[in-house]
Amino acid sequence: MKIILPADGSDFTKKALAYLMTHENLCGPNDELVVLNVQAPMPPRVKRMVGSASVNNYHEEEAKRVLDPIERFLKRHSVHYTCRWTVGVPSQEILKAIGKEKAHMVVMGTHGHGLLGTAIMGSVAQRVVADADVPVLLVK
Amino acid sequence: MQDNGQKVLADARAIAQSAGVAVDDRLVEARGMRLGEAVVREVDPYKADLIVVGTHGRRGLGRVLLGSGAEQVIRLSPIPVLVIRSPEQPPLPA
Repeated sequence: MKIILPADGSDFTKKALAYLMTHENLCGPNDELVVLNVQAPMPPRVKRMVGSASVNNYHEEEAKRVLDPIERFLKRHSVHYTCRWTVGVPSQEILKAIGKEKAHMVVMGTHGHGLLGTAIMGSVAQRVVADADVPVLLVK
Repeated sequence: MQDNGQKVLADARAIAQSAGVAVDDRLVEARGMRLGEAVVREVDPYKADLIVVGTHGRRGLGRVLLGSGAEQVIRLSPIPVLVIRSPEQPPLPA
């Protein structure tokens, strides 16, 4: 099974990872995990001001901050994984990745960093569940 | 309503059995109770690890809305919920 794990470095990312690692039928030696970090784009005005190289550096650093600890964690487990990052609207990038990776499932939290205390489900999770052609496992 | 429920369960049972999965089923009458509550109430007695629920996905133009049943289950569940979208989208009511 190929699983997409959207990661924004929030507690829900940790929960989703912990869930996967404790369920061997999801993440065994024949399965593959794609960890995807999606970042909101900088406003064009900022890009013009500081230059696209600095903006790219910034995104790369942010991605490292989220993905490096995950990579360290995954290395200790016998699981095939790739970590990648992209810039865009999170729900759209996750949906795109499902198609591109030919993934079988998405595992994510109901909320990420964009937490609104009263919301039933974060908008990212809501959009992914509403539009994904594959099952979505929402970790609590 | 009972007959309908039994039929749904019988169909599900047949699918699970043909896949070689152990299956138990239960028809719950939950008058005056919301669907989500009725489902989540079963988590403890069954010592469930996971709830699997279907959803209609996106209903209404530009509106992001799951089937309200799925949404309730997701909100109330103490355990992970596997959400599967129904492939055929029912036409919008006029």
